[in-house]
Amino acid sequence: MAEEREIISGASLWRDAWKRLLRNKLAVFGMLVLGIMLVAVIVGPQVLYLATGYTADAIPADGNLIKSFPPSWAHLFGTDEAGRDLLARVLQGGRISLMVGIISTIVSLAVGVSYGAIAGYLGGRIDNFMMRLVDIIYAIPYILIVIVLLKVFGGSNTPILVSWVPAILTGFILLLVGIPAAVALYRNVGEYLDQRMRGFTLSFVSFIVGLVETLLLVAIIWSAASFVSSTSLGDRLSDFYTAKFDQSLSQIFLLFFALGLVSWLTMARVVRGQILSLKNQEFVTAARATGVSTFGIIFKHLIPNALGPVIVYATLTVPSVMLTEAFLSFLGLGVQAPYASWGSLASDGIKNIAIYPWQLIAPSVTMALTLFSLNFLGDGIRDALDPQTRKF
Amino acid sequence: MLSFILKRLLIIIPMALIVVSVTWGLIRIAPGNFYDSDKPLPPAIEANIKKKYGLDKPVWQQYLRTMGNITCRTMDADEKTENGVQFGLFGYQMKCLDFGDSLKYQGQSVNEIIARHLPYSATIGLLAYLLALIVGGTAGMIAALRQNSSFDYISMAIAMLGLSIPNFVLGPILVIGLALGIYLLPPARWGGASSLVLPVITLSAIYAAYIARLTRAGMLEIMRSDYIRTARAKGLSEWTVLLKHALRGGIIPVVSFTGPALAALLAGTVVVERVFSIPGLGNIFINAVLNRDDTLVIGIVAFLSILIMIFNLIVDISYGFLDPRIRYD
Repeated sequence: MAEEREIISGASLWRDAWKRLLRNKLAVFGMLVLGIMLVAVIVGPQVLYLATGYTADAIPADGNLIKSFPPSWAHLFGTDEAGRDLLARVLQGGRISLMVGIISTIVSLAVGVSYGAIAGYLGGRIDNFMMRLVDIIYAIPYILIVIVLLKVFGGSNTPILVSWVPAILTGFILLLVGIPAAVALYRNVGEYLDQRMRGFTLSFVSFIVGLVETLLLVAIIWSAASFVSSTSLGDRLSDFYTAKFDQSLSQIFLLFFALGLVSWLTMARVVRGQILSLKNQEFVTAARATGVSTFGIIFKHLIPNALGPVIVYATLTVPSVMLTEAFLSFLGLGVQAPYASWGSLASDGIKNIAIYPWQLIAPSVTMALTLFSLNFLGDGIRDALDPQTRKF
Repeated sequence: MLSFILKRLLIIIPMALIVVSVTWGLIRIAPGNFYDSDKPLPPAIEANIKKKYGLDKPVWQQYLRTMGNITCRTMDADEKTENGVQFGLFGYQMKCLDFGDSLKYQGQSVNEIIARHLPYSATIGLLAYLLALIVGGTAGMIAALRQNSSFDYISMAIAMLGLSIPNFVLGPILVIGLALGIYLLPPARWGGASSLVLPVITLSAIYAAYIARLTRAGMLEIMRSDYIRTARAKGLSEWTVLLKHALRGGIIPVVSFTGPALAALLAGTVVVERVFSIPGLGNIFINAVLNRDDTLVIGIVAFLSILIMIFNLIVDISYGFLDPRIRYD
């Protein structure tokens, strides 16, 4: 009976939220625009190529066409100085911009959620130490970290990065596992949840989670890299290890990490705060009193409750990461030619703003529209998941 | 309260030292050197340069030397430098807070460079934040009080737009429109109040948008709370309720945003500095990182991190004044 009620209430939380989200016109608008943008970016370049023969880097054979033309029926967004179709470039750039946004957010989720959850769970001195560490990283300008990462691992050094990534991730995860394991030697970390939830269980769980995270991250990033360069995953993998790695592509690959690794801090704080406020609440005690198992409490009560702010924050991290990528591209540190992102297209366009304004307008309007919808969607999800903050 | 402030002030010193150490490590990992150029240097010259800057010594000695310079150490007998604070102590000649000479800008100390370029960044940064507070705060307040009105919707849509346009796009658009189009304002460079208008507007846009959203959310939350109902119930006028009671609690989210925002504004004005050709600290910092000007990077990071921590401390203290329920032990 208890089991049945659990399922019904668990499902209705998300169904309620979904209904509230659909009632929010701005959020629906955001979802629609994002959906269109995703489809356009994924299939757009191919469709455009089949329909017109334009690709992002096809320079016209006729010398008279090597000139920046304003928007026309032949070129909806105009062309750039090399005569390349801007629509094709904006679509191709969207792939990279959205990919940077999404994958860096996944990296920051993976790191931030584990870090924050462990700090929150353990509490006390370790929590204090872990959060001071976050404070210290906060105080270092993130641009310094990004530039150093790009310089150390950029260019011909990328194969080193590829062999380091699993090592660094494993090291980090071992650290995450090691802390609870060490604490477990002294006291029962899971006391407040369940006597059965001893240190060993906790470190075992975090080890499994860490392992899955590592595999997922590596898989996602490798398949993303192969998607951007449209070569097969197998070729890409062998290229990594034979150091035949495309340097401009490696820059993009690095951006995923660099941006992810500087944007996990706030995520860690959000998750920690969430776990701290949840772990002592009455409904956890009530659930335990009615005989729900530890894993039931964690997966049916704690995680869904902590998930709301995480989803909201993740949705809002995507646009902020995309803005940071654009900022880096403006400084000449982001995506390098022949690849382009909305940020790098816009920063190229600024140089010609007085003569060829469409070179700036096309990428920056597309980007602003996407960020606009992402922000609206994020707000909508927050209101839907937490009706308290919704405008009474 | 006093012991809380003292404790927090004291902890800034070790934290700043750790930040500097991490920075020192980070830039040491990065490949290349400040003296690298396209042509390889003759080995004798390279050896001399290394000797001059102490790069021939073991790494731990270099680290201790750097840390000694930026905190305090006894001066060597043959050392001749005017940098930092120098004084005699028990017969030793001491030297403190010396960040050394810049490796790229010959003959200029890091302290001088920061002192020269900070005023530009600080001026536009502070003015931009002030503008953002006035515009964003007012818009957010009105939006919260007239919830679901057309003003609410329009101002929040504009705020969202402000969050979605990169400032390196907004800046040039403003220049084209207001400076080159109708010759209203100077398009770039530093000189007179009119040259500040465009950079300050460009810089403040995103902060005004944030503040408007934070104020609105904070005020909506507060206006529902019990103590506002009590204040109304005891017959206070709506204005008194608003200004004396609601505002104090309602702007707490804005206050917590102010700490990191001010720090970011002082350092992160790079884009505006580049677009409007302003000789500020942000650009100097980026160039220093790219050129491996190690001493300058460490100097600026140390300066900024202390600034960030002081801002955060001020924010934490002001919570106590804004919300009487918060106590410090």
